[in-house]
Amino acid sequence: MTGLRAENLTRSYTLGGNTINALDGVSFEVRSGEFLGIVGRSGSGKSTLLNLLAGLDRPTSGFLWIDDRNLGEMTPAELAWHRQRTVGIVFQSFHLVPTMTARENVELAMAFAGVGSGQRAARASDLLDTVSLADRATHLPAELSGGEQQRVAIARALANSPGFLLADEPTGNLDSSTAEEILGIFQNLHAQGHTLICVTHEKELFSSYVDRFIRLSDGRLDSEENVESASKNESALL
Amino acid sequence: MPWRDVFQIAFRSVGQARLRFTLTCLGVLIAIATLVAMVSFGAGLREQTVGNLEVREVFTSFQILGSGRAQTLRDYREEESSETNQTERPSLNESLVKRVSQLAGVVSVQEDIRFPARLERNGKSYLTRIRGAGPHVAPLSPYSKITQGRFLTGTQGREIVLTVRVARRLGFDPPETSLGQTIDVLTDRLRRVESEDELPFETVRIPFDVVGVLPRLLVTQRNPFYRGVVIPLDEARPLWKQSLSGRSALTAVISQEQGRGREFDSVDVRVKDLVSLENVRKEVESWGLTTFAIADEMKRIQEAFMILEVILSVLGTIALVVASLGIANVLVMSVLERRKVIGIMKAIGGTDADVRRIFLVEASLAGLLGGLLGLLAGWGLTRIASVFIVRYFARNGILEVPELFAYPVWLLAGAVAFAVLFSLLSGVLPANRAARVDPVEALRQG
Repeated sequence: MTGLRAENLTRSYTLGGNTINALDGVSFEVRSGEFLGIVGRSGSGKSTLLNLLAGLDRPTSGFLWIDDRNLGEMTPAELAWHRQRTVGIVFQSFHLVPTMTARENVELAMAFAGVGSGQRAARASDLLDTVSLADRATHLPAELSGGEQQRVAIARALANSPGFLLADEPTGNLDSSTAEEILGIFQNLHAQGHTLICVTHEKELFSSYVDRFIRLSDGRLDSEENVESASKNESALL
Repeated sequence: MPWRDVFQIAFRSVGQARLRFTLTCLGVLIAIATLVAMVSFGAGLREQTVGNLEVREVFTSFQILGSGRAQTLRDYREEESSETNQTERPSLNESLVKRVSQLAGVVSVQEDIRFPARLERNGKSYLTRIRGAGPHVAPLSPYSKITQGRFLTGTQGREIVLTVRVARRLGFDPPETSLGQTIDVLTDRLRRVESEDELPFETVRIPFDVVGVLPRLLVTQRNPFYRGVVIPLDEARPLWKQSLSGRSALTAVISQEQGRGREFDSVDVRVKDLVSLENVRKEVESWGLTTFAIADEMKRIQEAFMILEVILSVLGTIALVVASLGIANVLVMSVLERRKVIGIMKAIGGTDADVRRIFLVEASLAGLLGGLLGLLAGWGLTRIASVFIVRYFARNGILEVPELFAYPVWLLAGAVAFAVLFSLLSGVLPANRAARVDPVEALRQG
């Protein structure tokens, strides 16, 4: 299958001799081209799940297939390749390299993937243009607003044309109008066929854009909820 | 990640922390400068000593020693005497010189004539050892380094070449004022006596014209075989034969008692190549004679210099180790400070190897820059030292001071390579720590 499948996914931590299950037997699927929202209260395991999907962390048990590849069996180098090519990640705090310009931040992801410098420059320009930041390409992150930084982060996440865009609270540090702008970009990407998985606690805001929510509670999958097309369209019009 | 990008990121990182990088480089610079100065001094000494000996073609010459000098050599080498029957050994005289000359591979054979004599001029006198020589030794140190007057041009004539020291003792100050002056050479010789009240010797006084003055040389430039006051060989020979002073007199008495006639102290033999050296020496030694070649001592000299260079290198290396610890410390701090950036790099696809390479390149840059600047600083340091050394020796009468520092290619390339290598090694631990940074933890803390 193409897409993502998690089966009985568990991630445990040992703290002070006690084992804590940040994720406890979570199973779900994401179809290719789907926009999934992951919701839940703080500490419910949302970010832990996203880190596993991103290949930044490994499950304690269970299986996680992305495009028919089991992440649990990947070597560190293969996981790095997964982060270069299969997924792009957007963080709540943007996490741009502060000493690099917007363009260099976008190019950095391509440099790790071994893309040549000429090709990188052209692709970075296109991506910054896509997120309407062509005129801020030479600015350092400190010279950009929060929304602009997040747009650079999205451009960086898309740099190597990944099949999956993962976002951890992408609007968490933004005001409502800027958050709408970011979600507008996500909507466009979704429309272009990208698979998006967003962790958020702003269900209301995201409900107009996602196809489906899954809710985590104390590390377990609490519920799955499809979003009505009519509701989406209605919200989008508002 | 391509190396070009690794270097770009590393350059950017060091550019962001200029002061820290500069101080790190300074540590390497001082270490390499110390190393270069010390090793170049050792190499310079070796070049001056061993190099000069090589120039003197000592590898194709040796000496046949008279019994006195042969015994001295055996004592020095702590060998048992092999010359149990002295009468079987041929005497070092003209016929031996002729016999050796006829051996295959021999280029020249020259008896070594030296005798003690008193030099006098205007009531001032100085007791010294005079050597007989001909123009054939003119290319050899110290005669080749004569700057005041000239060396002997023939084997005959009442000409004498003084040394700076002897000239001063005879009242010539500056020494070159002796040129063209006449001095007396006084030596003793046997004479018949009519009664027991008379001494069996008399003093002979012969005037010589000063034609040259030999400069004072550093120990490393001196020739173990040739030095001192020189007169033409044919003038020296009769004086040596008559001379009663010193060891030659004693040798004469012993030789005469043994019925061999008077011996030379030694005979210098030059051969055409190394193979001839071995063959001729073997042949001469088979006659019961003792020979000596500087080549025998070369190994010891080389070993001594090797030890000196090792000691100097170790001292320099200690400085480099200290600098490397500084680099390691700076990089460890840098890893701690840049945990978030490392986390970002890993999150967007950077591998452990990419991160490791970036930090290793940063360490190498400190080594490379510090090494190159250290090389320059070391060279500058030795140049300054050289100026002071020349001035110091000039004040002490040694005007011709050779270059005491040498900069062989292996030192220049080795010093920089050493700096980069040590920096790389010091970067291994921090680079591995950086590579092991957990991106999730790093981003959470960031």
